[in-house]
Amino acid sequence: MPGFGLSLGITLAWLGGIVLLPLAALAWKAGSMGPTAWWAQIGTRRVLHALQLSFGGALAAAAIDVLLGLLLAWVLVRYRFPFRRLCDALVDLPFALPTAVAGIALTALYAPNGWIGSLLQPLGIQVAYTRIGVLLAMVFVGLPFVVRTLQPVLESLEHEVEEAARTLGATRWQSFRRVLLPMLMPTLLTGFALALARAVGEYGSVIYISGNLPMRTEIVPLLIVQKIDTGGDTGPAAVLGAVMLAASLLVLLTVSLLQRWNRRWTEVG
Amino acid sequence: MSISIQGLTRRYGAFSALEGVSLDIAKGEFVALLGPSGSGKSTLLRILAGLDDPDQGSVQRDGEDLLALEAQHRRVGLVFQHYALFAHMTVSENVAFGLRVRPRRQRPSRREIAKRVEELLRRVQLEDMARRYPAQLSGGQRQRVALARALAVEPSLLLLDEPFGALDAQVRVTLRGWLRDLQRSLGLTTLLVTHDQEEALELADRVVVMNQGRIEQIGTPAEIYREPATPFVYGFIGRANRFDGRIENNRLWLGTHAVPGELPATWAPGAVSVWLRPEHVTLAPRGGTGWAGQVLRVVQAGSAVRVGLQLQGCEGIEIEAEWSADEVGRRALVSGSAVTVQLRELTLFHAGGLRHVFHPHQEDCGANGGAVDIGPWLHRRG
Repeated sequence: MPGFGLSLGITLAWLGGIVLLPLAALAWKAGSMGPTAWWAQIGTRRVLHALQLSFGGALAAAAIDVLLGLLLAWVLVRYRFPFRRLCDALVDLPFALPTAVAGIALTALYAPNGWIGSLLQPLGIQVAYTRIGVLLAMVFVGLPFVVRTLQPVLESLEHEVEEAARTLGATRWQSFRRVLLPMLMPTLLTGFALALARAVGEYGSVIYISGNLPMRTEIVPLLIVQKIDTGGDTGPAAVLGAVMLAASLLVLLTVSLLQRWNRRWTEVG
Repeated sequence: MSISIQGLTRRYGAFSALEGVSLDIAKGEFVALLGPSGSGKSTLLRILAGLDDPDQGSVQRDGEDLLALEAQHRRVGLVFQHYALFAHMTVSENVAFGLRVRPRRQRPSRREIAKRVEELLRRVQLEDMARRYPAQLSGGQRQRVALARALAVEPSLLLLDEPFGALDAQVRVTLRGWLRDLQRSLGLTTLLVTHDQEEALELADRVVVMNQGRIEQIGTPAEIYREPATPFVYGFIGRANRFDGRIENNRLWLGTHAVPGELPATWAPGAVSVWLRPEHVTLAPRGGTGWAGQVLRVVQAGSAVRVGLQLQGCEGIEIEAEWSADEVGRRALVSGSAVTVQLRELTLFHAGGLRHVFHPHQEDCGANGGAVDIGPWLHRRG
């Protein structure tokens, strides 16, 4: 295998230096705190609340992203309409935009006196400075991941498979539900995992639209930044960081297992 | 069930995929649609399957308007070149699909479905593969799964779209014979689309040769091969040499020479296109009369040998003959050998769609000392 040694070396060095080393430092720092100190950091209602919002919100946002992203990718791949390419390019915008800008823009739109917020206000719906706002920001930043992972797969799907389903007597819904969806499932899960990871780690856009009300709209990354800002000691922040890391790993691992199960039919054996 | 197709026309913008195509298919008949790509054969198949709509024309199945039905209600089995299996389903799930998607009231019970699937898999000789996924099967096995899946819904019409196109030559031949037997035993009305003439001639009861959205000829494989109705069919089926000739004084002229033989008395003078099968170029007996020529190349093609010839007086132009390896060996023919050949049968196409099978009178051919100057009007079909 020519080039194996060199490329593996670079891969390991990169993974080690850029990914594992900082994470190990985080774990070491967090590990140096005693169990009581740990509990003192995590066990408060405020932190538990933030953890719940961070992960609950991210899971919900990723789920919404998958539904929206599937629709978007479908429309972009399957239909031809004016400004399709422009729409296609717009999908990437959340990637490129500094998230703080996105957060401020969303806040301006959805604040009670904003363009959209003022329309929702009479209906009793408030988006900015509530959990809905947090969800909105998370959906915003995660959407491109789902669309971009789905698009190439949708494009490569053979039309013939759907046509076969139709001639076998399947309705359009049945051919979507029983043929297309299962074939897209592994990709949808990848998109879900990416959107989820992004939403859990999102900071910039969320803190503007959430208003950061303790016990209500505070996310964990914000608490971590606060802990670093207030105390000189980075230990408490490291504890929260480690908890997030562990939880994220667990979630991503679950998704990956689900994905393997879903892809069992592609393994030739 | 019998199918009656009347005046089907399908256009894509300026391109005309089908132009007034009419065809009747009898119950249990195996019909092959044969033509080059773009000839409209696949479009016709897709219209029958309900995957495309014609601009004009009608299709009736036992008197019922087939075009009025949605694809899912047509009960037409369709097999694709690239199988189009559901990759995430096992072989038996694939076969069961058409039964499982039926509305609840028409759906057989689980046990009946399982039984049907088992029967079908036995029929296509894949009963051991029921639990495998398509990715674990060979091309030939996949196509048999696709066929079993199409048969599961008990179609009234089976459509095969280049079903052997993606398979190895050997698998193709085996599967072909097997399909023929299966179709016969089921008595299923079948329409095969192919660009492979051998496949069409071997499998079908009747062959429909298509070109540029129109039907050129409909006939049994023997008729299509022996009596091609148009120059296109002649050139498309089998191997062929083509010349330009003309009719003058009720004689066939090739260049400056009149070829002795009978012509229809009614044929008007003018240009004709002259076609010749390689097997109709035969070696004259030793010392016999004929047309002098020289062997340019000898190509071994299985049991037969293809010999490229140049007839005297038309240097630079090659015609193809097909002889047995035996004969070529006996005469020790190699590149450069001198030969005398006889042209047994020429097919002439005259303006206005007239056609005549011309048998040159061999005894007069050697009038020019065995060498007939047939001039630079001789073209080998490319």
